Amino acid sequence: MTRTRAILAATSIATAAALAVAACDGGDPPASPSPEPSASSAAPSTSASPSATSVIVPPERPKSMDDDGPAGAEAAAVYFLELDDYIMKTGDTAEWEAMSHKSCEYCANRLDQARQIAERGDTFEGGEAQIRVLHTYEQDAATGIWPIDVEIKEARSTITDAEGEVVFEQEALTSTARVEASRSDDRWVIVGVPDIPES
Amino acid sequence: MIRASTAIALIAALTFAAASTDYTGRSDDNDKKYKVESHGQGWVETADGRKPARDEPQDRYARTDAVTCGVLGESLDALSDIVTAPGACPEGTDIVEITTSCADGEYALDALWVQRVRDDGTYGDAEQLTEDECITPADIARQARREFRTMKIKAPKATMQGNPPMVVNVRYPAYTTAAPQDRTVTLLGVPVVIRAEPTEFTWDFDDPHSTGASTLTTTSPGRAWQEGDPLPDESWVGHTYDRLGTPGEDADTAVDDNGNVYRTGVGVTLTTTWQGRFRVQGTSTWIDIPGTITTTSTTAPTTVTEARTRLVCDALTGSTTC
Repeated sequence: MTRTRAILAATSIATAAALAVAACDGGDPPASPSPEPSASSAAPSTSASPSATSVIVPPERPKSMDDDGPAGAEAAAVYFLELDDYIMKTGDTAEWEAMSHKSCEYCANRLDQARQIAERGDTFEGGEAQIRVLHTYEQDAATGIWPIDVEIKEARSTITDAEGEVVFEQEALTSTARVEASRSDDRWVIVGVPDIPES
Repeated sequence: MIRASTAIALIAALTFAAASTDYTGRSDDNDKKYKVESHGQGWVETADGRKPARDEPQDRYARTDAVTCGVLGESLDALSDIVTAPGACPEGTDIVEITTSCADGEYALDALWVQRVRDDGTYGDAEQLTEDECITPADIARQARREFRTMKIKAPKATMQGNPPMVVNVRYPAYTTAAPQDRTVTLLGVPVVIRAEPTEFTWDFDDPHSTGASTLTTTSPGRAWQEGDPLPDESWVGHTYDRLGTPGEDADTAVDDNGNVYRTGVGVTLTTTWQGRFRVQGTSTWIDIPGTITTTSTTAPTTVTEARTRLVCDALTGSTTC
């Protein structure tokens, strides 16, 4: 249930350029490739301008979200959590809002933060996440909610203000969460993202 | 006018001050509560792919205040059919919500309703199974007891402090990191914290040969010896091995090349007794739950050896001092 996505960020271009320069010196051996399925891939760039514009691609909506059963619920949960760093970086929150149920605190909290970043002109970097489904429970009969436990593997993230000062920083982090997904008007919505309750 | 501009300036200052601190990581933003209980596995693999584990519609149970149609202000006899859909009240009547008021210290539990599945797969009207009830602390205590009995308590880590092999006639401190373990549950609609508290520790030092007892029961979890502490004595939670048994007669006891007796496979066991308590969330009074639970922790098997006094230069090649 993990997918990678291509994000062409200004930082990775700059890094690639720096590596390319280092390789030209003929001194150091080239840096070994990251063993992780990297979330950011940098195309070889000849113009190593630091002002290279960043192109942030939204995560791809999986076809399996058309399913109204457990496979669709899982796909929706994964897709929704993958949208997090996208909304933080772009302020494009339309898809996030469409998938947020009004009773989802997590959805509202993250939306507030994305809006705040955009309003203040701050910059969110990193935070790309790989989501893995740990367990999908039976559908709750009364509400139609599918509870799904997931693991979230996040890359390091920073928020930088207009003056270039880092105002928030989080190291790479692996955490777990419960996603409560349900159908509403024939689409998937997220009803809540609590911690996984202790059994 | 002046006052107004001061206020604006103050707000601006507050906003600015907050700017660098109010961002959070995603896990800090999680919902505080989950919406539904979870159980089972949601799907099964079939030849046609993944299918919901329960494809059949299930009866729906819900607790909610009784809502009926009636005329406000009239006697309860005027209440008519139960409302199952918004706007379902006939003209001239209102939606009336019936709530029960409970005495101090009691908790209201909404009525239980069911919507049963009809043969054609659709749901019937809601039927009321129970009335609104007032839950007393005694009702909760009964439930809490059952909840505590099924609580999965993690066995705490038991440590015998000392680098292997341990030697005879030394008091080795034994300690555990047992801490209260909490579990939050909803009992009869009331959120309750169930707590297991470690109250008694029984150590079995796996020592049938020594002159002292092989077990020690204490209410203290013990503590680790640290730099600056006096040498551990009998007042410390711990154990002294002073006999290792007879080589050849006792299975794990043997003699090494230097003539030292040693005993292998010495494993220490800690049995922790946990007392249950509960409190209703939002109150501060803990109420004991009768009965206890025990957990067992073990340490990795180690070796205890005699340390014979020996001149160091024995082992030094070419030494001339001895």
